[in-house]
Amino acid sequence: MTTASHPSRSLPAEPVGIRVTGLRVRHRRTVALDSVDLDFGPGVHGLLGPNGAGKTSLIRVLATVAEPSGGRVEILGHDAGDQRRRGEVRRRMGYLPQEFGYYPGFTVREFVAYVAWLKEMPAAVTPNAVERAVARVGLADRIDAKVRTLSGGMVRRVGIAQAIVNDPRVLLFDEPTAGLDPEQRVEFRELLRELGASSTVIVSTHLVEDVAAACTEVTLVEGGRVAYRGTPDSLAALGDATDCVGDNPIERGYTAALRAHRARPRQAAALGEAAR
Amino acid sequence: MTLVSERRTTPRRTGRPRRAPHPLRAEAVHGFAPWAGAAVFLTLGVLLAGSAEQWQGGWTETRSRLHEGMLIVLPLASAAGCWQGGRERRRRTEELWGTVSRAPLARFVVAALPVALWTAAGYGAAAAGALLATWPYATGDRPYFDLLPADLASAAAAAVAGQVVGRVVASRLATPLLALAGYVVLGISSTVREGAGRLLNPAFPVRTDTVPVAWQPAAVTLWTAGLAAAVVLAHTARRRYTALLPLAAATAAGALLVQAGDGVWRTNPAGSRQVCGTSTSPQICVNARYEKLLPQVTAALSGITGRLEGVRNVPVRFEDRPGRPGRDEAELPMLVPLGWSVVRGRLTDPGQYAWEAVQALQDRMDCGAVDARVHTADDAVTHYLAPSPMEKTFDEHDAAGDEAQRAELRRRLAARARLTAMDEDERRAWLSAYFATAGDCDARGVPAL
Repeated sequence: MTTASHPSRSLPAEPVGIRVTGLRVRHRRTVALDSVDLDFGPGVHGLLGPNGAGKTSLIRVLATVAEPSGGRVEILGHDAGDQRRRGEVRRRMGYLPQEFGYYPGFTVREFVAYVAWLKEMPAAVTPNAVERAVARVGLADRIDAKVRTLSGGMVRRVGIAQAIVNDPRVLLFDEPTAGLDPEQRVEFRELLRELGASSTVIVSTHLVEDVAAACTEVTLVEGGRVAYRGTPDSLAALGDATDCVGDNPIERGYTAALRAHRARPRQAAALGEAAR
Repeated sequence: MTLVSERRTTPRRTGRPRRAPHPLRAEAVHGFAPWAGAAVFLTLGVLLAGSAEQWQGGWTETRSRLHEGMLIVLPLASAAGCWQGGRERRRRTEELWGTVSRAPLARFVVAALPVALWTAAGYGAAAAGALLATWPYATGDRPYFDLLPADLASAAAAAVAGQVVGRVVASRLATPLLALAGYVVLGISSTVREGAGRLLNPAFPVRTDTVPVAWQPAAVTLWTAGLAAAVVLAHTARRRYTALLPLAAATAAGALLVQAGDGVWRTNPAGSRQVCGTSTSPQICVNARYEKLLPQVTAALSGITGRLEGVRNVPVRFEDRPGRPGRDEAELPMLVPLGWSVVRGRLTDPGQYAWEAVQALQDRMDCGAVDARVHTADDAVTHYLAPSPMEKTFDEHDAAGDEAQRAELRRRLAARARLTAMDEDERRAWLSAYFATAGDCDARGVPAL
């Protein structure tokens, strides 16, 4: 896939966190991602798109939990497909899956420490890192409560805490704000901005307002291809320039980018027909 | 969530942060493991409590009954492991755990070890409880720990192997089916009487009069633990061929057990000794394993020994060793299996026990139907020495019976009366002549009464 026609933002000059080349993902007979080329540097990257667009497939491949059918994924300079390098990549990665699983009988401290151990963090720094991660998601006062006693939003925050406990260079969030109340979402965006200052953060979401508020870059995925890349501001500007539906400019920009992407194959087909 | 600005101004707690618990500790304290241990403890505890009369008070009986509990413990432990193995699917943590760098073997060990240890601890706690329950009623001998290490290791190995099954088989039915299959296989194997292969069954019943040879527990431990380790390594190790090492060790141990056959057991040397009281005639001996029962047995037979003073031709002693009694000896009525004559270190029915001792003195159990004259004499002697607790019932039954039964009863009552009415010397002489025919099925030698 080629990046969309909005060269409003050049690639970052600093070392690239993630580079995806010719990525192809198939689920049985369905193509979830097709020839995707992307790169993500430090900052917060919003991954938008309708249901079934391929966002979760992309996140899962980046998280090294799913194997691509083709293409190359480079994370922090390492080939993610290389088994010998995968451990190194995983140690420096944080991941919050869409469906966050946990052990309800564990305390928050125990669960986050468990993940720290799974990420091979040194035992000496783990206690501090656990407390810090839990405090960053606002659960310091519940750190010794069992996870089963927490509300859905709090459990989601435990998921965020486990993702950031190792101060990862690459952070992958799949629908992180699901279950959070508006106040918690606002605070989460603040946390995202802080994390994005030093790490490559990719946030897959349906909520364009989260992207508008917290992301430095937007990638819109549709039908397994990249439909748009740019900044939230450029997406909003696109919305302002169209009469698409939406309650705010970025929603209108989202709709406009999608429609433009969907129209492109038809235009190509029409051009092909005319040429014949 | 806390805003960044708040976070920066939030004062840190004084002192160092609390230690982050190691995952092993978290699994052991707040995971499924304690429940697995409790399940094993309670299940075995209920089984043992339900049959306490048959083992409480006897050290080898306690050991063997605990070991028999493996028939339930092993399937239960494997089911517990299987349930733990399926946890990542149930809790939906597979996705997240698929992105971590810690080696699968280490992850498996952290999840499996607490369940294995708690399962073994549950068995160990039940064993400790059983030994403590036996202690106040112990009839002699000493506690036996010879089977315990292998049983603990086998329970832990079953839990570990079950965990592999739980990971591989993606069905909640795997847990009950594994338990059921384990129970059926072990149960069938435990009933097999021939074939050295049965000794590979870690739950194979062990007789109370035998002890294992020194290397048997180590071989069983190596057999079960080796198999479990091989399964784990084949499932999780980066270099799967490393599974061949424990597999080879398990195979060697299994081959050793099969080759040795029944040679893995030897007769308990403590059971071949006996302790005798010499103050009575006949003397009374009990097996050394139940030596504390000697005073009770002596008291129960005091009516017999008192009445036999000066009587000739009676055995020198009641013996309680394996095998047939020697010349001039009578077999002491059975004290074991526990639960019949002896329960919790007490003779349950001294009268019945004494009656059984008289039968042993008469030694005509193998004669089948004897002549009426012999029968009448035996009945009179029994009535004089230690009447059966059922004597009155039988007499009443015959009294209400037909003419033949009533005539038989009249003969018996008359004979009893004649023996009782004899003076001491006459009765001693008669009894001496009577006991000269002990074990003789021919009526001619039995003195008339």
